[in-house]
Amino acid sequence: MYEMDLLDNTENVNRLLARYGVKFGIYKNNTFKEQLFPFDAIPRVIQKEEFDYLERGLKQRVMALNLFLDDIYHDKKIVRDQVIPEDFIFASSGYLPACEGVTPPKKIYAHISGIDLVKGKNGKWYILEDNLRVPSGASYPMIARELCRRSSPKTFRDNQLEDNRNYAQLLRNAMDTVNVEGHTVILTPGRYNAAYFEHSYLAEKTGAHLVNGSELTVEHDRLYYVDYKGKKERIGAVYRRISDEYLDPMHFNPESVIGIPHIFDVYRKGNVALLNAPGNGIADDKGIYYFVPKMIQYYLGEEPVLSNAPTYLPFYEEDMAYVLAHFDSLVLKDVAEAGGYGVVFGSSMTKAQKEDFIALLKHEPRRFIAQEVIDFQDLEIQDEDAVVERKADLRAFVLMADEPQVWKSGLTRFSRNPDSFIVNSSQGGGFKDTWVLSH
Amino acid sequence: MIQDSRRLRFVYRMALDFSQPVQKHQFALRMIPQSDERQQITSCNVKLEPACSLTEDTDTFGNRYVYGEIIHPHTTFCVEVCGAAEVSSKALSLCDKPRMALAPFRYMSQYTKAGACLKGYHESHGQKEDEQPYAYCIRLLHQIYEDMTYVQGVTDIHTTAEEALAGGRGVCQDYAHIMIALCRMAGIPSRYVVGMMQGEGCSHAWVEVCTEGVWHGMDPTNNKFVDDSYIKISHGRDYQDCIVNRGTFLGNGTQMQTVCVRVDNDPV
Repeated sequence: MYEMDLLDNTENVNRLLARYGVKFGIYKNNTFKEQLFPFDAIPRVIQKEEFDYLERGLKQRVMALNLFLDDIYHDKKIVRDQVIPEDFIFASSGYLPACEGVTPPKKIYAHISGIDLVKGKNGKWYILEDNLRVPSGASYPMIARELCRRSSPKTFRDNQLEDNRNYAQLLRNAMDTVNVEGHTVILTPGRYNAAYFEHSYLAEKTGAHLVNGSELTVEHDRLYYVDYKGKKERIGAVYRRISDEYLDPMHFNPESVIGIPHIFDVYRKGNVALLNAPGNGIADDKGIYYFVPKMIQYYLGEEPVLSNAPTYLPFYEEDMAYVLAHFDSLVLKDVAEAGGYGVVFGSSMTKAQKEDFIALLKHEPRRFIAQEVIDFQDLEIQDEDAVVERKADLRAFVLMADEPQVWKSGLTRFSRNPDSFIVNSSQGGGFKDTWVLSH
Repeated sequence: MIQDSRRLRFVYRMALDFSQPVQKHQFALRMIPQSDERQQITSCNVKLEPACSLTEDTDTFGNRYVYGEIIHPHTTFCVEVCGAAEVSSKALSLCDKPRMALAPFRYMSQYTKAGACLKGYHESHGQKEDEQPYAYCIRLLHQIYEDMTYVQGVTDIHTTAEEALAGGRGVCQDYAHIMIALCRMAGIPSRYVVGMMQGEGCSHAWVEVCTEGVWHGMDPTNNKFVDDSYIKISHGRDYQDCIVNRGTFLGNGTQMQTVCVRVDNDPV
């Protein structure tokens, strides 16, 4: 369905991506290394009906997660009603006591959600994880599509696919919806951040100012942008691309130099919107993931449209028994880790490793979840002159304005290693454009 | 009016000396004691040098904090909080909060995460089957005092309970963190307290444990129950929630902090 010139131009597109600075910075052993994020031109194609189904499920999921966050930082009904054991809330590093009783503008916590899915060989989609803190990745398919349009206009004339250039409008809309009063800015930790390209690109596309912490200041419980002449402009919404921990040295990590002193006080008093809301880490917790289908039933009274990968919580005795009996067929994840770290496959452990791991698991059952290894569909990618098959996932983006909206595209990441199931860009994978057909 | 109380006067003075002028100095101070069932703060004054306007607020744990900014260059920053208190000899304050409100004090926080050392300690000294939580806390109070050696300078503000216990030496912050970690391992809600104590020239840290609806103050550094010679300033999950002075400023050079605390009997 795509024209061969699309594929022939892969190299050109990658060269342009490198020039635009589409890179991933990785800290490994304390040194900063930038690497390219390789683009593969064969798109992932999702049929309209299939995407409609995903859209329904994703909206439902994000609505429930948003209600969950509001509940956890206020009444905690879901814990009182014993749907979620309190251990999974309060022992999680994602739960921030400082957010207790704080209500963000319009009760929106999850403005931008990145939900990771995979499609099994059986054709069924599974949710792998929810990212409600600072999910990155939308800019990559945006710019890749832009470059592909230039290199193969005919492909995009002949195929009826959803235009993905509206991400900027969706994001702008999410920011404007919660803006309290004043300008909107995108707050970046700076150019050494892994996703700096994205910060600058989204600022350009949405028309928001790209700022760093030192350009913002708090006065009389209001947030201001200070320009080079010292003139102050009120800020009403901050799409912050720095984590909670570094956001405000007066409330969180006292050694942060990339945050803004007292920004949390301004937020607490309702004088600025922060996207996403502080404290969202609790929703990303791998232990909480297990409970999302229950949340959907609890808050919305609906059956979940999209399923989780079959997951077991060794915290529960019967799950522990199952995990021990089927250890070799499961993947185990440390709930405190992210980015593909802390993930081990039962089948790849030596006998000694297995014994050690089981001892640890019995000692700290709360720390791990176990999942069935989903045999997910391979996607075709170009490798030199051949086409080979590799594992891939999909990060879908849901943006919340007055209603949740699903971006009709997404970031498809693939593993370049034929034996690996781990597709995270921090582990050296590549990406594809995601086409959603319009009819 | 608090019964069986003692009247105390207190002065808490903190000074920062900078080797070169700093500016745009923003700060948040948690050094104002509040009244509760155990202590009545009858007067309290805050003096700042250089003077600046202050905003006052209450944090998620109920601590009062004040914050402000000194924009122009300065080489010293000095805060003095002085006042008077009536303090009960009973180390109790009521805890009528529902169970869930105590959750942050029941689970491990940054400074209290257990490693091999705390786990080993918990296994050898853990709560006995017929031992009441309160009795267990008292045993811990004595045990930690026995097993730790008070030495200044071997630990710092970043030292966790696990590291301090492994080293066997530390200061009041470390004693408190170790006791909190062990109480939480036994499922007993416990919190970190910063305050002032008669006869101690610096600020002090101790522990409150919650059993049967009451917070009991215990001071593992001195192996004693908190009595009417202690004035509490703030509490939280651990050190990080109670940092007395947080601040950022622009400028080179180094800073030196001096803290001077005095608690005396009030003759009036």
